[in-house]
Amino acid sequence: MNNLIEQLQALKGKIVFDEYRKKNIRNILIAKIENEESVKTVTLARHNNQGTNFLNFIFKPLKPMPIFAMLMIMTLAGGGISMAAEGALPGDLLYPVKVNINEEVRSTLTFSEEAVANWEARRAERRLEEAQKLAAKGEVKEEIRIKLEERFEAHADRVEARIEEIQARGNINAAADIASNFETSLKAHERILAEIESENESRSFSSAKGKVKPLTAKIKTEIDDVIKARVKLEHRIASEDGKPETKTAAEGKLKAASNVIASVRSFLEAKEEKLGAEAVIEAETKLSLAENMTIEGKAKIEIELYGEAFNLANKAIRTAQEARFLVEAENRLNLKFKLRIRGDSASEVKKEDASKDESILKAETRSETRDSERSNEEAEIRSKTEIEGGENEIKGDVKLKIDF
Amino acid sequence: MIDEDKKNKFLEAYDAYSDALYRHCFFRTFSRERAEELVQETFLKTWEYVSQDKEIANIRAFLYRVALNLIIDDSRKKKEVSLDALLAGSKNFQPPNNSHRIMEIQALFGEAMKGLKLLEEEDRNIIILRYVDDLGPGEIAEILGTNANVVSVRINRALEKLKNKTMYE
Repeated sequence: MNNLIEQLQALKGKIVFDEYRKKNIRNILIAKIENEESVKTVTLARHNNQGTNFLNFIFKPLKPMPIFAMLMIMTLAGGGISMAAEGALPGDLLYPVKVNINEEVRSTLTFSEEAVANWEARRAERRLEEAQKLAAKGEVKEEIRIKLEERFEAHADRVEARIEEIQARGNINAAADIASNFETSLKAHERILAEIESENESRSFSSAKGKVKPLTAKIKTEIDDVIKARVKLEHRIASEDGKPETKTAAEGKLKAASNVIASVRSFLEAKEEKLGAEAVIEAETKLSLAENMTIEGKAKIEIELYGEAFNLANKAIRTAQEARFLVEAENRLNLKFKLRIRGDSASEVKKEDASKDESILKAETRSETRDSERSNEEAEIRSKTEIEGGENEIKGDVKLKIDF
Repeated sequence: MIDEDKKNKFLEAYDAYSDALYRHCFFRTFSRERAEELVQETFLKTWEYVSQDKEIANIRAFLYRVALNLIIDDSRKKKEVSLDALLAGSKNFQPPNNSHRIMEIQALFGEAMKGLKLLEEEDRNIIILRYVDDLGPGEIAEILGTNANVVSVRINRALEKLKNKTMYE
């Protein structure tokens, strides 16, 4: 009998609350505390006290019953609302519904660690997309930007925490994949925001100057963090060369890399004539770099360095994606140029390019609902036409708005 | 708008007691993940209470009470997980590096789990409060809403039961 007591006392010092998780939960608590406050004030204004009960119930820790109830609310009462909320931007009335109900429900319905990590990454991206849309409209208010930054950081930190956990559970390849993808997407968003920023700056009347700079700085720090995590993971992967499962993973990764390269290549070919020669060369160079990496990776497999092969494949994917973003960015610039020359047929060009270009922004195409996708594109195009309007005299023609 | 003082006190409580609560939950559920979730739920529930301007005299006792209720809810929901499954699942319990030490701890852990399994939920609870959380009878009484004498008696009874059971093993 004393045995058990002794065992317990010997063990208790060994059970330690993981520092990372502890910090993570602390952040979740802070987020909840502040969230609740902001949502309460919104609904209080509209329904007086009735609203708080309803929302308190929604913010209770989620157990099966409330999840079910939340789904019921979403489908019965608020199906339309939550659909409509998907396209909401910070400052809109429905925005709290988007981030606190729609996204939270998704979160609670997501189970595997990897899926959770990917969903958190997606949420971070969604915040950046919102920032892009606001910036493109030139409507970035200080307090909204700060809120967006906070949310973005919270999601990005959660992604990093999840990567850490997935790694702790021994699934290093999956952790590396998530880190690698998140890194690429953050880089792309950072680039897009910087682009919007410089467009805004070129507008003499812009009130949006310098407004997204702090956010791009935040993205950069997150990119650094993710890169650190990724490099760490790659070291671990490289050290697991001998294992057969590393071999399968590496081979699969290399195949994926070849696919990505092929798809970017055909994308480039489709857009080639619209792009400047420099951009084509740059993209081509990146693609052949990526190709070399896969060849090198295959060679590594031959000499049984599976871990290194896996890392090379991931690097190839990242490089190919960079080429893709380059083409997309260049394509957008050219679209602007065309608008300037062909004022009359501007709307045609816009329509054509908007629908043909399956990813004006890579991340945007991943948006869940068609509604939000449409408004994305619309905002994007509108902002461009407005920029044109500011720059030249065929203003009237270019200001055409497209209704989808 | 947010009552800063309230918020700070709450976060202080988190910093002070989350480790102990985690440990307690871990010994009750044998799952790292579940224990983490329980800690999170405990604090969320407690915040809900705090934010409604209700007074909490002893925050530690309150937190334990919330956690204990959540654990009981849990165990009612899913009946009996087999010990083997738990042992297999306890691989996610990994102190750093040194694989030899891990094995040792895991063996010890398996033993302790077998012992705990012999007890009824209530007794297990009180034993863990006493010997893992190192709480005195008075402190336990406060959590369970009873008095120190009753707690002492119950600890002794639990130990008796355990003795009898292990004798027949």
